[in-house]
Amino acid sequence: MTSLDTTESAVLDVAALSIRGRRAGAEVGIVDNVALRVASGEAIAVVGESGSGKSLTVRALLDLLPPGVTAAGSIRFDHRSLGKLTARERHRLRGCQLAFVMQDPFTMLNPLQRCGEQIMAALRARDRRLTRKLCRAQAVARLEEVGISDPAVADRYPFELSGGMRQRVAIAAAIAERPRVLVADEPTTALDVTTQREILSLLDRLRRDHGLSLVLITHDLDVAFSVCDRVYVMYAGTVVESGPTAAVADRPRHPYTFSLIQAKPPLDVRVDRLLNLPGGVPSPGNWPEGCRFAPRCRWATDECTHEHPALNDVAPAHQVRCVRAGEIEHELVPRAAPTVIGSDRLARADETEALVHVRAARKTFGTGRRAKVAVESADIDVFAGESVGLVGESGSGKTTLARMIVGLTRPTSGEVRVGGVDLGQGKLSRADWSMVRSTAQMAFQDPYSTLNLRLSVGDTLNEAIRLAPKDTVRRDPAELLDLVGLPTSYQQRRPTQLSGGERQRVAIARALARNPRLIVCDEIVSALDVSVQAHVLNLLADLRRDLGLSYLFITHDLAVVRQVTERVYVLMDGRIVEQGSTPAVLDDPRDSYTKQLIRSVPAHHRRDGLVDRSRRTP
Amino acid sequence: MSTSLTLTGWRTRRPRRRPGIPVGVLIAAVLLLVPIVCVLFPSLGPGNATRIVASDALLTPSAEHWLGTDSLGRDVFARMVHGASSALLGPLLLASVTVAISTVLALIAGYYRGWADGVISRFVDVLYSVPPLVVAVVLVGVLGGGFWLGVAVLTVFNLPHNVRVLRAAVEEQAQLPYIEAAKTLGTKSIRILWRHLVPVISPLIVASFFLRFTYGIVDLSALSFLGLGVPPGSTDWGRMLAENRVTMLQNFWATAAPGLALIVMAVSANIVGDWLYNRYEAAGRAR
Repeated sequence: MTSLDTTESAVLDVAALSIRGRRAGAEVGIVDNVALRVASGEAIAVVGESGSGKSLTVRALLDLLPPGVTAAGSIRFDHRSLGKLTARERHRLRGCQLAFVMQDPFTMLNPLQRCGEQIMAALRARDRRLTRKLCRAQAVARLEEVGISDPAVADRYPFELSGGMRQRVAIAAAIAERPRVLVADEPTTALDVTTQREILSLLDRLRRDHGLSLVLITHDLDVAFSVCDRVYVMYAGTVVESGPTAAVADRPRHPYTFSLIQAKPPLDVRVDRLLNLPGGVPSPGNWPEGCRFAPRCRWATDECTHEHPALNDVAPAHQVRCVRAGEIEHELVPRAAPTVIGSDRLARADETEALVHVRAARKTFGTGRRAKVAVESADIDVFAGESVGLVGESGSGKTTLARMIVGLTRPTSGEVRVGGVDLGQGKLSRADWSMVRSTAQMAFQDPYSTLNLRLSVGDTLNEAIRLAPKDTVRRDPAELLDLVGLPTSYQQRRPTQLSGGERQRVAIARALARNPRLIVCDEIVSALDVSVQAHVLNLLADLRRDLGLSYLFITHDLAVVRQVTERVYVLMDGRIVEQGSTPAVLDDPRDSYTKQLIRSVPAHHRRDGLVDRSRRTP
Repeated sequence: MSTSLTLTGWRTRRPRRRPGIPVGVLIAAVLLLVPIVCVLFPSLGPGNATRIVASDALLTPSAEHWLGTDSLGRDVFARMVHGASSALLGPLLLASVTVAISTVLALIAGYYRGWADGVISRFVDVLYSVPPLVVAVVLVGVLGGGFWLGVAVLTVFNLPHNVRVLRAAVEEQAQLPYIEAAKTLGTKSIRILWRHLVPVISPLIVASFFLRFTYGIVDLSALSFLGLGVPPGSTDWGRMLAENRVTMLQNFWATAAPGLALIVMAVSANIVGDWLYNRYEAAGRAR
């Protein structure tokens, strides 16, 4: 053990933490024997996909478990065992010493209270009576600490602020009582990449200035690597690997960590194929015997399925729960030889046939002085066989543009030609609409609302198939499911029985039912876990090869754009600010906004450092 | 090592779906069946509900008259059996028509929005500002139309609440991607409404039906109690309550039986409706 994580310096020390809940009437384990240590002033990350138990683990620390869920184990905060404290003392500790910031900046704040009041509420007048005036001064000072220098924000309501501002206010409230540990559960997941960077640097600065310890829960390895000293990787309720950031990032020793790193699309190179990690995280109650990752592990042997491996030291402060960690060490080298696709191997677009031809398209909502411009003026083309990216942050108008292309909303002015039909021109005939719909179909972001929960998968597909034009190939549901790599038996399933990735596949199958030539993909992978995201991206590549599809790929994730598109448009405030071939735009951006977007990607921070500091290496 | 710690979340939430039918719901369902049987087979009831035997007035319950007799010497039990039809059919019709009309209005307003929504929503707002029972009392009193006019008036004035609840649900669903996907594929609006939206809001439709049914029982019997419902002389639980309350001390059961029957029916309908809603709603939850 190094001095880094001896118990003496640990402000938070969790040992043998187990969490149990009920599922279908039976008691099941959700988290199993987890140990975490946070030294004073240290930042740790708990990383895992959905279902890994990471959120419940930290909720147990904060006494915030949902109903019906129980935790047992030892939690020591600053040498005091929480088990020996009364509920009241724990409550006080939670507000003052252990603070919590949640994911969703839209629901975390009380919508009916001004921001200043919410920060003042967090200031507890324990041994000092604070006057209202003093309290307000404190609130303004706290806002200043989180980078909000305008005191007027204290008098605003949360709905008047942007997501990033709200997250700042929430952090200001959380640190109001000068806690020693700040727990942040996916604090940047709902934010744009540039805002994400600001919040991450803010957390990093607060940690430095106040000696705050940080526990960051995230599904994004790059976010974890960019701000934390040490990383805990969780899988199916256990910690499978823990160690210093540099060691875990560069030399992962657990196949799961390695797979996560490999499945993440790289920003700087285009790879032939992302790592396909088969299966999904087993749900509580369905954990396999032996190593829980074994069924999905390329390196699994008989030995792995027999007994649950222990967490062993492989290097100083670097622990791995894998019996074969020593043998396979040399195979787990992230991105050893990326198969870069040269520009010559990029699919060639047929520039004679424009599926989508948009000129000076403008869309405003509302009329008169209150009219809001969503798309100012956009010129884009998508040619047959081409995959085009449309990049921008929330509010840039990219979704509105996409909706115009599939005819869900009509342009206020300008030309939106889809399959030769101009959607900007008055009333369209039935044949025109049929042309538009056979040309462009859409896949949506949220896997949980993209399917009608009352219809089975088969019914959903049949609903789409019956609309296919009479003169084209009519596919049947089994064939469509096969195209997206799902078993035929899924026809009988209800959407509630499917995982997020499977729902997205069904949604793609539904879009394919009309034999479209272009699929507009609106952030279709952004709500998915890394390994599932890789599945879907690989599927899209296969479909393109097999069916000759074109894509218009709307996303905020530049690494995804790098993997799946040849050309890219960068959209800001309803205008195209930059366009060109994907490698050219990403490697040599000309526009200052594009540059800022690329700089903000967390994968960049690790290499360059979020802020200047030396990193401990093992 | 330190002492172990046990943190417990509150165990308040019931499991989402319990297998089988809870006993309470079963009892409620059986109790709801009783008046239905009475309506379908009125001959099962004992004796004549309208025969007046002056000498037998105000008897207490006995083997011959299970619930005794009223002040005119009519058998209370027989009147209870015959009264089931107006107690059940009125609310049934009221609930069915209200829910059917309000579903159509809600679908039009919530899905198409625009001017249709404006017209429907303002119309509903105007209706909402009037208390249904008071209007029913005035209209039925002035027009003297009796029971079915009461049902009709209450049906119209029960619309607003239903339309609002269902419209909100339709509006929320209509913006979701699965509806947009259906539009993008070129599904006709009427099919989107029927195939996608109606099934999704069906739990609410079921819940609204039972809620309206319960209110219907109470409102219609209130009208009868005030003498505005069924014509004088006919058998109706609400009217029995009104007629027999002055002789409550002589034959308690002549008043208590219709009152209890109304309460039991209303509560049972509520329990069954609630259970159906929960069960149905849980089946369509997102995650």
